[in-house]
Amino acid sequence: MNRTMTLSAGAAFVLGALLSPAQAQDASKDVRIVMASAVDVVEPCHMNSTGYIGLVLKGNVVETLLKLDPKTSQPLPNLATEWTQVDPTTWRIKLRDGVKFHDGTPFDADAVVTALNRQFVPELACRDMIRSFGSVKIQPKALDKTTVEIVTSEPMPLMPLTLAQTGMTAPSTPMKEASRQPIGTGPYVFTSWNPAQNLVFTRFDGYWGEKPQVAKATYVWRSEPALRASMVEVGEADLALQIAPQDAVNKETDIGYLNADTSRVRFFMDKPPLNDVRVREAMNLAVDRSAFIGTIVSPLSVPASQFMLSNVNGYDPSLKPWPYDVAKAKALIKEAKAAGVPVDKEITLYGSEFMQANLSEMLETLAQYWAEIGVNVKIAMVDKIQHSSIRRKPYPTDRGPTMVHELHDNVAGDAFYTMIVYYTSNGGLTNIYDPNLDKLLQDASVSTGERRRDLFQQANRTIQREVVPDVMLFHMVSYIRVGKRVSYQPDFTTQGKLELSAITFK
Amino acid sequence: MSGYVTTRMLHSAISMMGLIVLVFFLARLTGNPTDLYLPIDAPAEVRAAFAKANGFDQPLLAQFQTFLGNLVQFDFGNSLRLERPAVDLVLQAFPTSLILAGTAMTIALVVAVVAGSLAARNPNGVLDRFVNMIALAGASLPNFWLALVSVLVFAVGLRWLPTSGTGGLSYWILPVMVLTVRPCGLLAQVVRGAMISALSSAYVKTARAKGVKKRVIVFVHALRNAMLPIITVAGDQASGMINGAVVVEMIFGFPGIGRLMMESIQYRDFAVIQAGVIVTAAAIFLLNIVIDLAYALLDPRIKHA
Repeated sequence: MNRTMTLSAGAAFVLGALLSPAQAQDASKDVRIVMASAVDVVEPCHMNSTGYIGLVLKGNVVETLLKLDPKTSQPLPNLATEWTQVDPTTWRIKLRDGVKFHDGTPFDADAVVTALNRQFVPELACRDMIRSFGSVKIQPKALDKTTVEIVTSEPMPLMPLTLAQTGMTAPSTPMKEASRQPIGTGPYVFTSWNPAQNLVFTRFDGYWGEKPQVAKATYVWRSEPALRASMVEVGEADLALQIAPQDAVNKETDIGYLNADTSRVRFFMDKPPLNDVRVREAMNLAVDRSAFIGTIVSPLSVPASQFMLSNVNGYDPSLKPWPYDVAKAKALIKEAKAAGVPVDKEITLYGSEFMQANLSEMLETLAQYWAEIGVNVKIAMVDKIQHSSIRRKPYPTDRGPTMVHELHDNVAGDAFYTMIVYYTSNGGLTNIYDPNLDKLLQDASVSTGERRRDLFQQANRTIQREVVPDVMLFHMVSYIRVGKRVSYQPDFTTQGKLELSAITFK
Repeated sequence: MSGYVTTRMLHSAISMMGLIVLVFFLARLTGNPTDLYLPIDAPAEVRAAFAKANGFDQPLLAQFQTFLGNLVQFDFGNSLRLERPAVDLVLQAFPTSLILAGTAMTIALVVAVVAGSLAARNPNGVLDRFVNMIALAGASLPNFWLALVSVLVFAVGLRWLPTSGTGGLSYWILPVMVLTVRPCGLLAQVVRGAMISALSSAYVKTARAKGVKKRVIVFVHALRNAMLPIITVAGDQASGMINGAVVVEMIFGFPGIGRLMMESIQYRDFAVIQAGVIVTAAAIFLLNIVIDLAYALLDPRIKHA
């Protein structure tokens, strides 16, 4: 009898231990964040070009000289306290005094020079350098302990915004190979990383700024959105990123927000019927964008009038999304047909499922709208590599009339980062070859202040109302689930930067 | 016996060579990975530098030659995505998949053998119908659905188990359970069929006439003779699991070979794909040899010369 009771008690204990809810969050200041994809690379010089690297590192482990105000897109002091343009190709940066890297080395002008030079090391193929500096070369120089001078090979009025993207890594960071343990000046120390399972940061006691509330952050990743949402619900995680709209049903915990992505269909304007502006206008007028909202895209999505969010410098508030006007669209098609344009020639529209949820449904619906006005569009879903090669130059010459769906985000805060690449003749993703527009955008690029904004706005108007190179669709929405014991408010920068210091405990 | 093993290993080596050629060229047919690793607006010279640094600028046959040259030195190359030796990543992930597959298969076999044998004792009886129904349902349920439903029930609803991840024993329960259901259902049906046939054979009738206990007849005499088809199906199921329980590993965040391969395919990480396929294939070849040997052990009429 005793043996039986002992065995039963033992079995009950084991079962109890086995079945107790694991990982339940306690009252500690530790948080757990569940992401959609694995953090398999942690090299800071890719952090603005590979979303999840910036999401974990930026502002947490690695800081930038300046930071962007998410509301105004204006640069604010961070590791640098002052910045001045001495002449068109020279910038002088004053550094914050008393800052240390996590390894104890002082953050000074020499460290900044090393970190900037590291961006240009060929072996690293830094994606941020490719994106931010392009063909511009720099020569950084330490003038004194807290002053750096940067000479650029050509005028770079966007240097402050570029410095708001460039991570300052410790001088001990390997110069010719990717970092696996980034050392920065941020409020968190990179503590451990298992690429197959998790990433852990702990609070840096020697941080120069305000002490954040979160003491330790553990990042994990699960590919299934419903599972990520469940993890917050049962207390296994405090934040779940990129949950699916259909899982965002709890008003207390689920927050939808405009992410930086804008969705559009781009025309390749080299072949009929897409080389006729009447056809392109008609295809814009034929789409009832409001019908997509709350059905195929989130109810919080906003119809777009241009390829950037309203907080980007150069956004033109006077531009409105195309109205839904089938009669006018049909009239334009009729006019084009009468002029000999083969309006019913089959057009291939390429899309890739990795770009956004419900994309097939969205493209099929668009094709239906276009069929109503007599434009014949065939959908072709392709994988990520094929999609990229369709989008970028060199474009194949042997294909018929083509369109491609694409998403673009501009978190750097200036229209330059969108318009040069998408709308100038030399842009890698352009279909516009207009010397007047090139000149306008070139002038805008080297201008500053209000003139810069006005020129970009003018270019936006010309593009959207005269050139009509695309069917602008929506500013897209993401959803995040926030656990009951913490507070966090996402914004359009969240998909590329999640500062742990913005998480507070209730 | 050793001659048989040597011959099988030689056959396996030939198959492996074919597999290596196939994987190398098929993987490269899916496109140049440069577009996945550089910003889309990267200039042509940056793309060219990336391709050169990773050998993608070479003709395909030259790339294959380099790959074979390295392979004979057991150098599978570095992961493009993780910048580490590909074989290290594979060998790190493989034990997790093996434990997952081994545990699930063991449970599936035990449950299927017991349930199938008991059902076969009285064909079309209540227990037989019940086992049949459950087995059919188990064999038909998609893992994806079962995984999500089990999370909703046991982790979210009842809060008995963690939703996902790795850690103590409790983290293994849901993945193992989900992985067990399908082969268990399939095997139970195979066991039932084989046992019905074995239990109606002459030697069972003789044993009954001699007064041998029912349990001994079923689980000793009949089961041994029914084991051959069971082992065949179990081996096939185990091969699938060793290949990586992709869905289960992806959903539960298990760092196994299935998840690693899936991510490597998405990122066109050729070195890891090749290392993963070769290591997995070697394990499956080995498993097949063991299964063949088990045949001989169970049925003395089968001799491997």
